[in-house]
Amino acid sequence: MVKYVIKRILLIIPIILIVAILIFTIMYFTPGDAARTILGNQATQEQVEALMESLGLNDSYFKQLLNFLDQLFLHFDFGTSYINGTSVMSTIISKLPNTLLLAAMALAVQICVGIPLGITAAFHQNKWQDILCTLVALLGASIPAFFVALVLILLLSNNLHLLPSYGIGSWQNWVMPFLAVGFSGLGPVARQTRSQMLEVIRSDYIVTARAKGLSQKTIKYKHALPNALIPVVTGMGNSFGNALGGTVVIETAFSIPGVGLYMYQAIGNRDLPVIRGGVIVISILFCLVMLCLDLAYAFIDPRIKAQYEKK
Amino acid sequence: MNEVNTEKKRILSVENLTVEYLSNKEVVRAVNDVSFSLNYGETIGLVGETGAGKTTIARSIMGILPVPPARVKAGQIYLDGTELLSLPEEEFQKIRGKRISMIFQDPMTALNPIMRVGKQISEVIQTHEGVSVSDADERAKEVLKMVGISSDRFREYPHQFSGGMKQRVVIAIALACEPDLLIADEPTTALDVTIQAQVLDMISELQHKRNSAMILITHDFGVVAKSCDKVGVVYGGQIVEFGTKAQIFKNPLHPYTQGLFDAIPQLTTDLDRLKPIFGAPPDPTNMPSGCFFAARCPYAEQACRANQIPAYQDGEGHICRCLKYGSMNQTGEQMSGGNHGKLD
Repeated sequence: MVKYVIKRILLIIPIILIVAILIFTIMYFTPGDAARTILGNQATQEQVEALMESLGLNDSYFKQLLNFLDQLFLHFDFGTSYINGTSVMSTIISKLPNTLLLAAMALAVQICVGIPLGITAAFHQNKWQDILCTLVALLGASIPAFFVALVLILLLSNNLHLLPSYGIGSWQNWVMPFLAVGFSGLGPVARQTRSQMLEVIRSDYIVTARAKGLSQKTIKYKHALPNALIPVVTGMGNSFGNALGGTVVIETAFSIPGVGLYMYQAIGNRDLPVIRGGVIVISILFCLVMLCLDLAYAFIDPRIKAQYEKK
Repeated sequence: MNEVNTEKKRILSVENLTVEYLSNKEVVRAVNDVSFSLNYGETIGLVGETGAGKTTIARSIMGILPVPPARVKAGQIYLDGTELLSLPEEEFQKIRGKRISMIFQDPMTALNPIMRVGKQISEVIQTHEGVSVSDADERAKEVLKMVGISSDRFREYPHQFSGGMKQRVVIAIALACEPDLLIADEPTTALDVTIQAQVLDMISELQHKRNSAMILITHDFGVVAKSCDKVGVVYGGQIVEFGTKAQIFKNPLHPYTQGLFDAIPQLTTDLDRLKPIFGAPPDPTNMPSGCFFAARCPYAEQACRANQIPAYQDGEGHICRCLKYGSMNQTGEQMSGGNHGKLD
């Protein structure tokens, strides 16, 4: 098991290498002039040229790429922001907790609301609970998070003045971001839980459990649910990835100083080191979460655990 | 327990059991007016083709029919005088796994894949015997040993077991609370021929220890010959012939039973082709009004197709649903023929 975990952690390195090359290449070929953006329209051509030279933007693609990779993998350094000269690494680390909190809350909403919703729907198949669940799932899947965010701001801040619309000063600030980020991830989890539950409840080992004379509750929660959750857990990895990506939108909508907002502003400013740094940090996070979920998978399914132990 | 007294004591009687499945507004008539009874210590074999309704009969007795789509349309099932079908679910739960238990057909899917094998056994003990978790675990280890599995394997998962071993675990679950009535639904069908006999021997041995009754569902006459006292031949959800093993094997009356025996190839004669029963079982959504077997029966006459065939019984309790034996006495006793013969 330990061997497997180490192997998986080492695997993150080549993944990040590929991500790094991709994001560098995309940003390299994206039109736009970082130096001009930094200096503004008043700057002379000479000033722009000089800045580009000093930032190393005049070097060839390969030289720049190698420089970037060298800094990243050998010095663990994302460079400094073009805009204010601060270290990208330390800025991201200071902003990371806000982003993680948002993504973790999204996951928590999925687990605490999505799974029970799916279970309720499965146990009341074709009744109103089921229809409600399907409706929530459908809305969650079809309404983008930013739209939910805007509607919430309009309703709860502008009209009802219940909650502040931006900032992170108190717990009230977090209510709407959580709602927005949680709602969009809810649907798939609830739907998958429902369909898995319905499938498991028809399986032979549930008949065996009934034949043992167990109570309905024991059958549902001790035998059916753990089996139904196995694929749901796997799907949750994707949900978390989506939630991480979604934080860019949510942080922007609610002005939460997290990695997402930092990246969003950097994209507007063509602040290349920040964009690259943000993408790479989020990729590493995603890999780690996937690893954790795979381990959780092994924890609930002994068959998978046996496979890991063989490796 | 006094063995002489229990010998003849009745444990189960099934009366006029009729079960339907409703699917897409179609009615599947799975079990049609089945009656039989069983004494302590006896083994009855229910023989018939796949889809004849054997498993539905078993599940009705266990009270584990999937409702809906299944529906018990009529009939009563008495266990030691208690009617089971009208029992509230909570009461029935106390009987399931404790007084009646069931061995399932497919050991590959009958066990919960993510639960330790030992726990799956101790769970049933804990549910019914009111003992602590550790006591239940200890007893489960005993039961494992009884079915020939080392108690070291208590903490393993089903995927670590072979098919035969899994079936032993399924049997262990069924026997854990020493049931009075054991229903074995094709317990050896999914197993290798080499371990079939082993498993059957083990079941009978454990059954005799307790003087339990057993319903053995199979489509294998070899299994019946080996383990059963009485035999019911099931066709189209009906028991078309019922008798002792000797009666059925030496003197099969119903043309369907005769056909089944003829279909078994004899090693003593040279045979180029097998002798099948021609035709197919009746469509359970559209049952004929007369004898269910008439379409395939070499002796079928006009009268056979007109009305439901009552059950006739001879002096020795050999029962048969066939007009050929109309001269035998009609019975209302064991197989509820006469009164219920003419169904609407």
